Amino acid sequence: MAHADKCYVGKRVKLELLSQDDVRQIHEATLDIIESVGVKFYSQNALDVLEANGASVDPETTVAKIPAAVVEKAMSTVPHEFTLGARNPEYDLPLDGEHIYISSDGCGVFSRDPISGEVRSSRKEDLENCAKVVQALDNVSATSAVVSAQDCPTETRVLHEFDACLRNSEKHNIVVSIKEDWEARSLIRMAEALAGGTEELKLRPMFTAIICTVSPLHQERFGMDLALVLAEAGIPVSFYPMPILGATGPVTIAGSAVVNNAEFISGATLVQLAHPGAKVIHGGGPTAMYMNSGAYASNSPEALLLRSCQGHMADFYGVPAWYGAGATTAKEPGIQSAYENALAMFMAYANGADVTFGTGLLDGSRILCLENMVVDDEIIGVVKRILTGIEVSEETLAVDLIKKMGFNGNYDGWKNAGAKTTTEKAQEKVAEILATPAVPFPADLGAEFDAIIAAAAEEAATV
Amino acid sequence: MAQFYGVPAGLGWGGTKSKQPEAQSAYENTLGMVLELAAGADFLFGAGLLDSAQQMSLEELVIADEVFGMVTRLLRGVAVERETLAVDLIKKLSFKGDYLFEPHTRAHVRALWQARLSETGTYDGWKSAGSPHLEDKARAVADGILASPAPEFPAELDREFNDIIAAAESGRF
Repeated sequence: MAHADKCYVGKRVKLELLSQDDVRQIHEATLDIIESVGVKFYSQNALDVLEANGASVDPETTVAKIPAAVVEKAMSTVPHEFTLGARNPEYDLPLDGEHIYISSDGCGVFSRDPISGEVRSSRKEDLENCAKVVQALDNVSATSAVVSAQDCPTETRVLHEFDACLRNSEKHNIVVSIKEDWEARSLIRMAEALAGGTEELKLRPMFTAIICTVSPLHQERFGMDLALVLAEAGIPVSFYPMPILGATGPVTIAGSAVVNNAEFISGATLVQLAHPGAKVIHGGGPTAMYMNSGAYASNSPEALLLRSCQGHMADFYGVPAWYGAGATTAKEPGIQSAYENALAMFMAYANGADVTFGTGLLDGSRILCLENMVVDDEIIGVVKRILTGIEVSEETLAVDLIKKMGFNGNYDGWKNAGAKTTTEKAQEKVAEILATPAVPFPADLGAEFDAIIAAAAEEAATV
Repeated sequence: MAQFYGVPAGLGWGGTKSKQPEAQSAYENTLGMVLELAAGADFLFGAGLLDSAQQMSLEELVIADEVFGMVTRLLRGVAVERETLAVDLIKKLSFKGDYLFEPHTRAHVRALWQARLSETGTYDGWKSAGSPHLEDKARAVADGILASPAPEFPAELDREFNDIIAAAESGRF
């Protein structure tokens, strides 16, 4: 069975969090903001594309005010469905609204020892281990730069992170922290080597790029330059706003949904104008803040509701929805991480998410904890079953069977089995996965990856 | 079905298989709670039980209280109206992330959900507090409650209850 079949939920159960009128109001407010206030772009390439297509650009402030008609024309060319490619086609991921996927999370900086609980700076080997665990889990569909490979040179770190994931897993990969032109070109070469060529990569993109916008209403230079390069290469781009309720967006959820949506729409408009039909994804990891401590509240109810608005907006635009879920604020694996991630994943998928990003980190996306990923894998299985809903038919009603049948339960067993908690069982599973070798990586691809990374390091040294 | 018949719905909930408060009881009870309440339940029956509703756990009860607060906030949903869309405010602040200092923020900030049990501070803060497990924090909350007196029970009701129980025990009913 192909992996995607395990992720099929069909016409899933959805919460009607927003009415059609609510969605339209958020859309219209978004267009109003983009046209009257504009969005600050720091990329000259982006400003040139926008101006050539009817936006009014102020060269001093670098603000582009984009008329609603330009946005609407641009959004009319977005593809509604496409497939994310994987090293092994068995793990290709169709994005069609009927499948749901979770990837590992991104950009953590620490790794937690499962036995001692000690926390240290993250390294490339953590990514290798994480990729092996992702490969082994049925409900986790993609690897990512879950933590930073801080033992690798900064100039080529992104390439080492990709290398670690792809050598240890056959699944799709999520790239987050690309900042330089040589990184983008080198990654595309690595992905082309995996896919088997330039055109093959367009059909089966081996990675998705998450491009963080800066709230409120800023689009960074490297993010936009990168979006343009990747869109041309056929790589899906997920614009990923992260407004914080009451800090970098209004404290009211609907208002921050407008800011979030404006950042997505302005990015999507740019790439559609430059490369009509480019694969875009409505992304984002907006959060709240605990006002008493000022701490980041990645999974407070308001943060979950704000993210849920994105699923509804993505449906409205007919684009895949991809947002943060699973970045528990808990400091250790256990009860809090379980209830927060369960709610986050349920809310995400019941409000239209196709993919969530992601699992595996504690402390608000800072600390890698592989056993927590194993627990999330279990949770997502339960959520999937809930989302498939209830079939009511003659067969499932089983009235004849009920008429025919009459009537029809252990603590001791658990004590005798060693009284293990779910987290302890998950730790054992991680140890078992890490003790087995990774799926073999073709030697010629390995040599090509090494050569591309060496060439990028050389190029970086001359800059 | 309860809505169809126009009667309140009180649903069984919380019969986790877990034998102690842990990750499994947390995700099972949480998913059960949000699903059943979203589907129209008026009340849920079963907070504080473990091991297929055989063991009572005060920690589990305290955890259910925390999760219930989150779920009820989720189910209240998102108000989309002029005040909450805050288009004029977004226009005024444009590219500045200074929402914290706005009257609009002060007016609505108290409506945000506040954690009572969940860990919400920094990692270092949690470490210096002795790295408490959530179940230990829940136990401390329960112990605090047990150390304070229950709400007063009227003396005449107390007598009447005692009389009824005594009567039942002596077989006079």
